[in-house]
Amino acid sequence: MYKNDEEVLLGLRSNRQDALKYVYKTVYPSVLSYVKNNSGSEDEAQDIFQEAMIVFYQKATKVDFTLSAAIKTFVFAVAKNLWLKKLRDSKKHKYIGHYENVLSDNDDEKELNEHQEKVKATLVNFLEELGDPCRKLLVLYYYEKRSMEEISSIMKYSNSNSAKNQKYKCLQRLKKVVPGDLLVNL
Amino acid sequence: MAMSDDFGHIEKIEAYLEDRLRDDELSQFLDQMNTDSQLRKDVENQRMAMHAVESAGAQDLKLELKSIHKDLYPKGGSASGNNLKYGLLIAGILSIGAIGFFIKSIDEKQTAIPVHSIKTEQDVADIEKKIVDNHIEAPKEEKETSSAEVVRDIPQPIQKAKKKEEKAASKSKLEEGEIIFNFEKDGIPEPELVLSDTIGKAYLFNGKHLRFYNIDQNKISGITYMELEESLYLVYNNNCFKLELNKSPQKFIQEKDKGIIRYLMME
Repeated sequence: MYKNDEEVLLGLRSNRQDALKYVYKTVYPSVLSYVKNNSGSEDEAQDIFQEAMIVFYQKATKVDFTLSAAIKTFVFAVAKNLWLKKLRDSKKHKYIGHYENVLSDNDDEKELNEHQEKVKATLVNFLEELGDPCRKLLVLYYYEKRSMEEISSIMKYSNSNSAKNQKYKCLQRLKKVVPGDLLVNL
Repeated sequence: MAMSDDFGHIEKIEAYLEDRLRDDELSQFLDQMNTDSQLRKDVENQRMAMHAVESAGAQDLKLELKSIHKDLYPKGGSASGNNLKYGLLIAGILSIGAIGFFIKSIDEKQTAIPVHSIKTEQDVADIEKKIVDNHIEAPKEEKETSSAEVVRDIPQPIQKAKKKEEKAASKSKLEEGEIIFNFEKDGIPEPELVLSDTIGKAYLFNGKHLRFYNIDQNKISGITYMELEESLYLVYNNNCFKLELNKSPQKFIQEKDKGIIRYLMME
C-alpha cells in the first residue's frame, strides 16, 4: 500500500485513516508483545500504543517535521518509553513504605496530572459548546495543521480567504468562552 | 482593531506560540510583551484557545484509533495471531503434566500446608508440631531462633521478586486458585498459586518456589522465596520482611489493626 515512510507521512494528510491503519497494523504487534512481556495486559498495550500514535501524529503533522528514524522504530520507542514510565509510576505507588521521599514527589505529580486532566476536559467542553462547523474548522487548522486551501476544500468554502475569515470568527467565539486565566482558577 | 489588523496580530501570536518566529522577531515580540499587558493577555487567551482545540483533536484521534483497533482486531481476535494461540495450546497441554507433577510433589512432601484462621499462639504451636510430624527435612545447621527483620534497603533479589509480584498484581483477571506459570528457569514451569486473600492463612514452606498474591491490587501482598539467598521475603502493607532459611522452623508474626495476625512459617 505504502512504498516507504515518506508516503505514509503524506498519507496522514491526504487519507488519515488509511495511513493510521497501516501504521497501526505494522507496529502494534511489537508493542503488544513488549508490554505483555513486561508485566502488562493487552488492554494496557492498546492504550499505551494509542497514546504513542497520538504523539507520533502530533509530531508528524508539524510543518518542520523530518523523519530521523523509521516510523516503526519511532512509534515503538515512544510506546516503550510511555510504558516504562507507567511501570515506574505504579512501582512508586506500591512501595511507598520504602521510598517516603519519592511518595511525596509522586503525589505532587499525581495531583498535577489530575489537574491537567481537569483543565483538558474543561477546555474540550468549551470547544463542544461552539459546535460544528467551528469545532471542525479549528481542529483541522490547529490540530491537523491543515492549510487554508485544504480547509476550504474539506469544508466546502468558496476559497481560502473565506476559510480564513471563518476561522477568525470561530476563534473569537472560542476566546469569549475560554477564560485566559483558566489554569490559575482551576 | 480592524479584522485585517487582527489577522496579523493573531498570526504573530500563533507564530510565537508555535516557535515559528525568527530570532530577531522573537526578541522584538518578547520586548513588546514586557511592556504591553494587553498583548500578554492576548497571548494567554490564544494559548488557552489552542489548548482547547488540541485537546479536542487528540480526543478525536483517540476515538479514531479505537475504531481502527476494533476493525483490525475484532473481539476475540488477537494481534499476536493464530500461531501464538496454537503455541499456547501446546504449552497448556504440556503444563497439565507439570501441574500434575507439582500437585503430586506437594502431596508427598506436604511442603505447603494452608492453615485457616490462625488466631492464637496455640494454633502456631500446633502447626509447628505438624511440621515435625510431617518429617520435613531438618536443617543441617544448628537451629537458632531468628526474628523477621524489616528490610528498609531493598536488596537486588527482592527488586526482582517485586517485578514478578507487579506482573501478577497487574493481571486484573486473576481468579482464585489460578496457577500461573513462569518459564524463566531453563524452560521449566514454576507454578504460582493465586489466592484471593492470604490474611489469616499460614503456609509451611519447604519447596523451591511459592508465592501468594492478593487479587485486590490496592492491598498487594505476597511472599517470595529467593532460592539463591535461601531466604523468604514477605511483602505486606508496604513493608518488606526478610526471613532467614536454616534457622529453625521460623515463625514470623506481624500484628496489624488490632487482632489481624499474619503468620508465616518456613523451614
